[in-house]
Amino acid sequence: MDAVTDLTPAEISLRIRAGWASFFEREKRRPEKHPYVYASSFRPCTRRMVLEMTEPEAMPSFDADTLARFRRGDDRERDLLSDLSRIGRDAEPAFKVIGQQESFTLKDRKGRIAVKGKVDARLQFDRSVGAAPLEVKAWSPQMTQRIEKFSDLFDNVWTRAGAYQLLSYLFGAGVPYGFLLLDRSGLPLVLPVELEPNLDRVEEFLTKAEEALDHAQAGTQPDFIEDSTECRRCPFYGAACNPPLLSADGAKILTDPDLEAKIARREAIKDVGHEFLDLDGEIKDRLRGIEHGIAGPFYISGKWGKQSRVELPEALKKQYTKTDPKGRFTLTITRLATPPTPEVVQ
Amino acid sequence: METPVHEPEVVNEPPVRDLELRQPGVPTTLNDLAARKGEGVEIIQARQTILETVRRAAIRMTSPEDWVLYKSPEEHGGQTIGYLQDCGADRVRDLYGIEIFSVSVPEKVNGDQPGVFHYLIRGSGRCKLTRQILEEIEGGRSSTDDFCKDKKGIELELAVRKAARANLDGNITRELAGLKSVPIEEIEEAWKGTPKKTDRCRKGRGFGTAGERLGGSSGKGPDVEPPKCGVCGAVAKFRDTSDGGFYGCPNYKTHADRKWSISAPKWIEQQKKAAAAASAADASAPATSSQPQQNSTTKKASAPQQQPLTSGDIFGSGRQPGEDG
Repeated sequence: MDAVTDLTPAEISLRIRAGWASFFEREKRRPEKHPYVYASSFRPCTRRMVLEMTEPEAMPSFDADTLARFRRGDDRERDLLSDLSRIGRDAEPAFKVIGQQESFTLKDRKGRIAVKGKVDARLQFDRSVGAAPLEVKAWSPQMTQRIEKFSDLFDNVWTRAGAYQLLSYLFGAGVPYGFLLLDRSGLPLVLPVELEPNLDRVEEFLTKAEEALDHAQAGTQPDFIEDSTECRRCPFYGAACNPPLLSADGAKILTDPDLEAKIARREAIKDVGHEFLDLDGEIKDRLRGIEHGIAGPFYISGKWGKQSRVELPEALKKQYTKTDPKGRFTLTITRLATPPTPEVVQ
Repeated sequence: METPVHEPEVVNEPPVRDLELRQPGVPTTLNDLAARKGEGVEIIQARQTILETVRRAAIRMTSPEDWVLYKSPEEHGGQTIGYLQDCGADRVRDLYGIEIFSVSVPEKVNGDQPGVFHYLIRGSGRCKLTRQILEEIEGGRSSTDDFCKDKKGIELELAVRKAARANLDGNITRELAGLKSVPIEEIEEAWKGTPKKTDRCRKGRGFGTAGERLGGSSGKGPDVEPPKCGVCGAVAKFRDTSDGGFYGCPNYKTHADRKWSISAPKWIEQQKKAAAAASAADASAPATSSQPQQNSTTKKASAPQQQPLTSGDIFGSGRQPGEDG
C-alpha cells in the first residue's frame, strides 16, 4: 500500500473516487424474476414488460454513477418527506404524512396481482376523506424544469413511467387525487394529479400488465413493437430480444424543380436578406419616435398608430395555454454541394 | 335472356412521370431511360445528385467519435480512409431508410481456448431510398474484444451478445449506405461549416503503435534494412528497449514454439561491417549476409526474448473494421 506522503493530491482524489465507486458497486444487486409488473415499469413495449418479469438478468447492471444517483434520490426523498411532515402541521389545510413505503397491489380481471409497488407516502388532510397518495421524484434538473403540469410527464419517455405509477396508486387506493412531489433546485414542485381525466391511461396500463402476465405465465412473448426508437433504448435489445428494425422511412426525396429553384434562390439571397433585416431593425430602433427627419439625402417620416394587446393575469394565461407537441417546426436548409460553375460562353 | 358477355378487363398502367423517375428507388431500365433521350440524362443526373446529397448529409450527421481512421502504407499511396463505427451507423440509418429484418437467434461459438467465445447473428437489410436488399449478413463479436475487459459471467455473455447485434445492424447499414470506407477528404468536405474535425477521430491501423498515436516515439527503428525472421522469413519489426532494442517477428504467434529475435545493436553492427567489407572489396554485390543468425531459433535468455511481442505491439490496439462496438 502506498503511503499518503508518496501520493500527489490528484492521485489521492482519484483513489477516493475509485473507493466511492467500489462502495456503490458492493451494493449492486441483480434484479430478480417477479410474477407481476412493477408499478414503475410501464413500457410502451409489452414484450419488454414480459422480459423484465421473466429475464431480468439479461438487463445490464447499473454502473456506479447510476447507483450514486439512486442513492441521492433516496436521500432527497427522505429529506423532503421529513420537511413535508413539519410543513403539514402549519399548512392550511393541515395534513399529516402517513403510510410511508406502504406496499400496494392492483389485481387484474382474473384476480391475479398484476401491478405491485410501494407508495412513497400519503397525505391525510381530514379523516372524512381518503389519504392522497404522494410520489416523490428526484429526476434530473433538465427534465423537471420542463414540467409544469401532470400531462407534461407523458411527453417525455423518461418521466412517463412515473406518471403511470402514481395513477395506478390512485386507482388502487380508490382516491380521486394525489400529488407528485418533484425535487428541484429551488422550491419543490407539488403537482396535483387527478384520476378521473386519466382513467383511460390506467386502463391502458392494466391491460398491458394483464397481457404481460398472460405471456409470462404461458412462457410466450408478445409481438415486437414496431418502433425502432423504443428498441434502441431498450436494455434487452440484442441481449434477449432481436427485433427487426422497421420504422425508418428515409429522407423524403422532393423532385419538384420549382421548389429546388426557389430553395437555391433563397440560399443565394440569404446573406443579403439577413443584412437587410439587421439594418432594418437597427434603423427602426434608432428612429422610433421621429415624425420628420433628414439624414443626408434621405427624408424620414413616421407616425404613431394604435396598438392593442391583451394583458392577462399569469394564472389565467396558463389556464388557456395549450401546448401542441407539433405546433412548432424548425426548418434548417443546408447546402451540401457546391453549385455548378456556370459555363462561360465566348 | 341473353347471356351477358364479360369483356376482359383492360388495366392501363399509369405512366411513370419523369419526376418520379428521378428518385433512386424507382425501378427503371437503361432502355427506358434511353427512350427518353435528353430527359433520360437528366434523370440519371438527378439520381446521382440525390445519392451524393444523402451521402454528404449522412456523413454530416456523424461525429468524429463515430469514425476510426486507417492509413494504408506509404508504398501503397498512404491514403487515409474512415471506417464508420456501429454507433455512427445507427445515426445515419433513418436517413437512408434502412430496415433490418429476418434477424436470427444469436449463435454462441466456443473458441479454441477455455472461456473464449463468440456470438454470431445473421439478418437481412433493405434500403428504402435505393431499394437495395442485402440478405443473410453476419454480425459477430468475441469475448476477447476490448469492451469485454473487466466483465465476466452473465455480464460478459450479455455484452458480447448485444455487441454482436449492434455489429449486425452496423454491417448492414454500412454496406447499404456505402460508408464502410470513406476517404478522409470526403469526410472533411461534409463537415465543412461545422466544428467537427477529423483530428478528433480515433486512429487505427497505419498510424503507428498505440503509444505513437498517443504521442510516443515513432519506433520506426534504426536506419538500416531490417532483418527477416529466421523461421518464417517475414520482415522483422523493431522494438525499442532500454538496451537498444531488438527485432522480432510480426508473425511470432504462428510459430510460438520456434522463437526468433535479434538484438538491434548487434544487427546494426553486422550491417555496418558488411557494408564496409563490400565497400573495401569494391564489390557491386549486396552485403553477403543479410540474414545472420537466421538459424538461431531458440536463443537463450537474451534481454529481447524476455519481452515477448503482443498483438497490440505489432498491430496496435486500435479496433479493426468490424470490431467496433
